[in-house]
Amino acid sequence: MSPVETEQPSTSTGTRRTNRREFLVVSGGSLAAVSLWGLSACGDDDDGGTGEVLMNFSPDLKQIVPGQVDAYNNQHPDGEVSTRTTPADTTEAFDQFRTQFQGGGSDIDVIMGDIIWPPQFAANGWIASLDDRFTESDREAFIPGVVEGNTYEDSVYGVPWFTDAGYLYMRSDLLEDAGYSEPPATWDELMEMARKIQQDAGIPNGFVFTGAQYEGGTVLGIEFIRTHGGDVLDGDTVIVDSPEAIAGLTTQQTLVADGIAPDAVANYEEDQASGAFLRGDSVFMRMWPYAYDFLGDKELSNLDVDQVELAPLPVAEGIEPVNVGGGFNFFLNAEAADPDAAYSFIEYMTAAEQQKTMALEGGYLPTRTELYDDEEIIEAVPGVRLGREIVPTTTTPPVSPYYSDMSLAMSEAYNANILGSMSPEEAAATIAEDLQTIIEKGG
Amino acid sequence: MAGALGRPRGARRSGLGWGFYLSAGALVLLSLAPILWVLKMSIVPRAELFASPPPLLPQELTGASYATIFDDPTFVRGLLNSAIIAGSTTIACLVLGAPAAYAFARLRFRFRTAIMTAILALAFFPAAAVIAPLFIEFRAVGLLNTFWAVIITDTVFVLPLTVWILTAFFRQLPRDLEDAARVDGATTLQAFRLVVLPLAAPGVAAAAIIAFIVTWNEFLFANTFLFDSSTWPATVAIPNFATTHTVDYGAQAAAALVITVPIAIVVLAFQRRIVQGLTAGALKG
Repeated sequence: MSPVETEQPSTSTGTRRTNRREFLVVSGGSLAAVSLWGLSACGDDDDGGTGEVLMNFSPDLKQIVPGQVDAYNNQHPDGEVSTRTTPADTTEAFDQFRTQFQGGGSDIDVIMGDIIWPPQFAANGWIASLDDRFTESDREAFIPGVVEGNTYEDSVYGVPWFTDAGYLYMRSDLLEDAGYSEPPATWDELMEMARKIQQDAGIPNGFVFTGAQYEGGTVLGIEFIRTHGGDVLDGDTVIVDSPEAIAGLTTQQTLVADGIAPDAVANYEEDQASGAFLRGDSVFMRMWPYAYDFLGDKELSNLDVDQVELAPLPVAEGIEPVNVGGGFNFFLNAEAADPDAAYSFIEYMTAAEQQKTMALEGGYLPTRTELYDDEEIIEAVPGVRLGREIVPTTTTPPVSPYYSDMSLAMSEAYNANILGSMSPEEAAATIAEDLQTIIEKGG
Repeated sequence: MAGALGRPRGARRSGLGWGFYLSAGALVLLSLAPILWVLKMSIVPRAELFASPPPLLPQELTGASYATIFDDPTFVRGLLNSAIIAGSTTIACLVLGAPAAYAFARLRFRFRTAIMTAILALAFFPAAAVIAPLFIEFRAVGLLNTFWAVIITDTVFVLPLTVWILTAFFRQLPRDLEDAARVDGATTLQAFRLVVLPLAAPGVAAAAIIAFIVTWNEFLFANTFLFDSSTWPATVAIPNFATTHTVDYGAQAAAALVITVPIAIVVLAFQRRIVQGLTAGALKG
């Protein structure tokens, strides 16, 4: 595995890499200056092999993670795990890590990161392969699609922590009134049901989804393609111009062109899409499970829990159910001060007990399949209760060291497809061309 | 206002009357509209934020967003961090900039104009272009994740502006005063310290306020060089009123207003001095 230059040659340092010890010595020397300001930011890990571990986490987990870290530290008095908050916006957190690694390395040993990070970090040698630690028998306990997302060039680089999946939200009350007893199995059925209910019940929209030009828009575009049996990449080969992929983009465009989805979906992110659905303005919605928790909350929703049901996303005729999800994982810094201590902490955080706490206290979907049979979780977490058939069908975005660039290019074309400014064929051809260029330029 | 010219003073003022005040009001409303909208976002409940179409006036008031931001230790700490960073940078700019500006204003030396132009050019250097090299340098000397990284960078970028404002101001002070001081036995530095600086207070205030505002609002360097939430200034803390899926626009709006208010107060309090300082030398040509 040769180190690959990242997307921005101008900011890349190539082979230069500050030796970790050297860096620690320097940062230790600056401690005096730091403490002048009443900070102890850099002084978390002074020495290798002492069980000192620094992990990062996103601020939305601050109700749960610090308690788990404290519990771990109490059980392991010989070392200490400390934490650092990284930006809530995943793209921004990614950029921050990339800048640090390009500048010589990060002092964060255990990296909490998105499913799309491993190939980009691994190709640059920034995170360590976990083949020997996260063994094949360990991996069997996790959702296969999510482990696959953490795998790059036959090596596994991340241990899945919690995941996310695409659900179809349905207004079960409206469906019942219209005489439907089953969720739509195919996209054609969804369109037919939506049109009928829009007309009969006077609901402005049939279907809403996140179509804005951002990572979420890319995920939805890939999802439309995969639910029609197509895909974007097969290894390093671009296969997005297949008839199946074009069929997926045609469905995406038709939904908007036929007035089932509003034109505004081209600007919808999660807040706007779930806002429209929770107001009662749409029959269906494609959304992550988190929005289910808002049902019945008078401040956020006009809908009650008994008006909404969750189902697997529709597919094209003859295609197996599939959705595209994300989720967070733990990676091990290739230059971690104490890799053994760092990995044992990763094992602790991803164990069934800690995942259960995350599910019960925050509604986060576990990545260990056994937890989908846990009575307590099933009862307390709607995403698990209603998603037992959905989560196992979760797939992740294409695994590529150039995914960030690809995602940008794709989100633009998917957005143009939604707006109708490109035909599905043109959108597919544009994506194919863009991805090919990105692969050739990078490889 | 055509026809207003020939009238006596009192009539002219009333001649400015409704037309003048109407357009002035429209201008003020136009400039304030985005801020008023942010104010509205910060005081309405979440459901109203996402209402479609959004009501023009708040229908229901709540202080929830303000409670959120002031309950958040990262943001409260961020306000303090912002004050430390902006305050230190401002002091550094004045301490380094005022003597330099005095030298440019009073001393004759070769390449004076060229050096002044070079200094100004520095301020227009795109920040994005220098951020990666700076990151590597700061890592090498161990200043990453400390306020120093941001204070040093901010000072480098704000100093040119300070020097230019102060040079213009020092130039318009009558030279006779310093000559008189020197006749009384003061050295050049003493003349600068005891005579020129007190007289130049408006210019110094203008330079200080501008340096403070630029640094207080700075985001890019702070976001790149400071990783630990305990070191974040408020500007870096604000985007984190969000979760993976949702953005707390109400809290972000409230926080945006909270960090704007101190600046607005300072500018209002010193507005005459700022104008005086900025227009120094403008009429002398």
